[in-house]
Amino acid sequence: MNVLPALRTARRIERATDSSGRLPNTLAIVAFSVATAALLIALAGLHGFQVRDATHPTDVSYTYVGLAACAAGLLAAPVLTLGGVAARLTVGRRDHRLATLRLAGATRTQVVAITLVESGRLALLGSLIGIVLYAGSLVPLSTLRFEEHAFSYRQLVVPLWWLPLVVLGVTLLAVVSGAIGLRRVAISPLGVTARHTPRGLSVVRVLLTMAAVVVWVAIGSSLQQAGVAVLLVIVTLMVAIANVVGPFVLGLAGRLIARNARHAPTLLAARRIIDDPKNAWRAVGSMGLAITVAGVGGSMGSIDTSDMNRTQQLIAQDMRTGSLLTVGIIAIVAATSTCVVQAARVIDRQSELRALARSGAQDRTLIAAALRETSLPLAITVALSAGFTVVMMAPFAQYLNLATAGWIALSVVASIALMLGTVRLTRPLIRQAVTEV
Amino acid sequence: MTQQLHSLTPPPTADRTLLGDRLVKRYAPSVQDSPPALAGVSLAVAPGESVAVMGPSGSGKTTLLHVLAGIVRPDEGDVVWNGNSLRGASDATRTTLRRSEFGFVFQSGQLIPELPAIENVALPLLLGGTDRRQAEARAAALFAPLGLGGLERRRPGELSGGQAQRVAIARALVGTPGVVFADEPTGALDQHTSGEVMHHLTGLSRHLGASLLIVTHDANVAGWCDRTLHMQDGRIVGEARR
Ligand SMILES: Nc1ncnc2c1ncn2[C@@H]1O[C@H](COP(=O)(O)OP(=O)(O)O)[C@@H](O)[C@H]1O
Ligand SMILES: [Mg+2]
Repeated sequence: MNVLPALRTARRIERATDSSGRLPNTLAIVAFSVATAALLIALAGLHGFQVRDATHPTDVSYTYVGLAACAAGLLAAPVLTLGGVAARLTVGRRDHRLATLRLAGATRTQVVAITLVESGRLALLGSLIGIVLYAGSLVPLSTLRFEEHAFSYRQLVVPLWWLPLVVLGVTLLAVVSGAIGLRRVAISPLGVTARHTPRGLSVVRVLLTMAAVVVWVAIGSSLQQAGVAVLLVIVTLMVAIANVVGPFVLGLAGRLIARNARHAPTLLAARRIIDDPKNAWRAVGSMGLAITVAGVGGSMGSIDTSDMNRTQQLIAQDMRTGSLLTVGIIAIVAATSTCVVQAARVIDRQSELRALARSGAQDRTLIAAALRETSLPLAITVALSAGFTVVMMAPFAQYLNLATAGWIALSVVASIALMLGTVRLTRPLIRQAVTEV
Repeated sequence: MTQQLHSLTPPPTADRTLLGDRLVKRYAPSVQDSPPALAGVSLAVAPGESVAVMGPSGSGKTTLLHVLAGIVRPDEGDVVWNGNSLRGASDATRTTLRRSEFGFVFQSGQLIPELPAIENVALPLLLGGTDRRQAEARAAALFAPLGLGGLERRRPGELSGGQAQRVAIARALVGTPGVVFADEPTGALDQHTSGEVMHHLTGLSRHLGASLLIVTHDANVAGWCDRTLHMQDGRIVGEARR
């Protein structure tokens, strides 16, 4: 197995790449660091409440541990998604070069090794930066008050031996996602010319989702509080179901829109959703989750507490703070995913975009088409998750006040603004693909 | 064929001649000793004429095509289309010109894999703002003449190489261009399929009154054209008429 010579060749090609070609690497590193930081912040919250429960137990301190576990669980899906899309980005842009290496006689093993080493390297770098980001976030986090007390650093700093585990986890995630993303190249040297994405991974996804459910339920029940365990199961099932149903619904909506589209950007966007609904979902699904969490958490926080006792009022208030924090982190992770997916799309379609530009398509039409590819599934997801939240909260309508609707509306607007803002960051990439003739 | 295509035939215009006048193009102007990609090329493509450009790799064929089509600005010389000089034309003007007056066929890979064939063909019209129903109707009229009847809903991945190139030809012709530019349109095809594609490209272009400029390294492909230019080191070094 002559992996080393092949690796050296690949590194040489990599070094020869100009700076514009390195943008995707930078993006992947940013994505891995955001994912790592989000994960560590979630773990820090969990750790903080555990320390409090151990050192200053109160009637409700254990409930807070359970709620923090819920928040961490909610974050798991967006973080996994972000790691996955970042890994795909590192693999995707190598398609062409790797297929060339393959044509030049590199073995499948060599090609796989090159990619995995590269994805792993970027993930390692990103997760190390993520640890720095987490360290920087300790200052603002320590000003948050739960149970009327701010967190101490001792509560927020996770045991140091967790850090290498997190780095290892993120790197492994990248390597595994990279291996999955590589299948279409490694199978045949002609993989790229054929440009056919295998769609056979649903069984793996379902198994992974089920494993995540089992693990989560195990953790949840070990927390030994029935109420929280039930909540955990519900949360996990919700996320799992959303990830199975989401792509399906997006595909259906895409078909409907493609049939009735009147303009090129909408038609292109809809056809691309139909072609790969899972990819569309990866780009926007986490934002749907953010909106749902904001809606549900915000509604709970806005329950009329005037006839409750002091403790109940405190919990309601802290739930609002906690869900705001969770939503904020999910939204940042989600927006990063969107940006990465969008960048990967532009890079994958560089030659296609250039051909269209040469044939006389205007820059702004092409940019509009590229942006709509994200904004269309986003619009569908926002509508769905806002509707879902309303349905979820309907049984509790008697406890809720006007603020609920306000919360949902606010989170919808903020999420969309954040995501569309992020997508616009990829405009220079589109312009570059279009104007370079 | 004539009947189906009636609606696509353009009105005859005064002078749909494409002129290149002493064109010079250097990609790296700072490097003094690097030879220019185009070193003073002049040519005229008459309305409806088909011209093949042959020559060794790196001789400037693609650059000539890009300069004539208004994709790349020449450093010296001028391109004149339909009596109008492109010298002072803005990027926006040249983009509009390419969209409305020219058609393009590249070697391969320019069809959008997610779109069915009919939508790929209709795309230039859609991008130009034509109503979808009308755009698809005009696109549909080109399928039978190109031997693509029944393949309208297939996606590029479900077409053979020759079929995909014929879809690309339909896309180049759907806007009834004055000139079709083709860069190695048969470069990825075998001999037999290549002949089939050339038969359709030259036949339909002539029928629609479009001039044709084809870059190729295949003498059989050039044999389908009225005239063949030979290039070397950025210059035209020979010419042959059929
Ligand atoms: N974008 C570019 N940047 C720099 N040099 C280029 C570029 N495109 C072509 N060239 C150079 O210009 C010359 C002519 O290239 P080209 O027109 O592509 O030739 P052909 O199509 O006949 O193979 C070659 O020496 C090539 O290296
Ligand atoms: Mg060329």
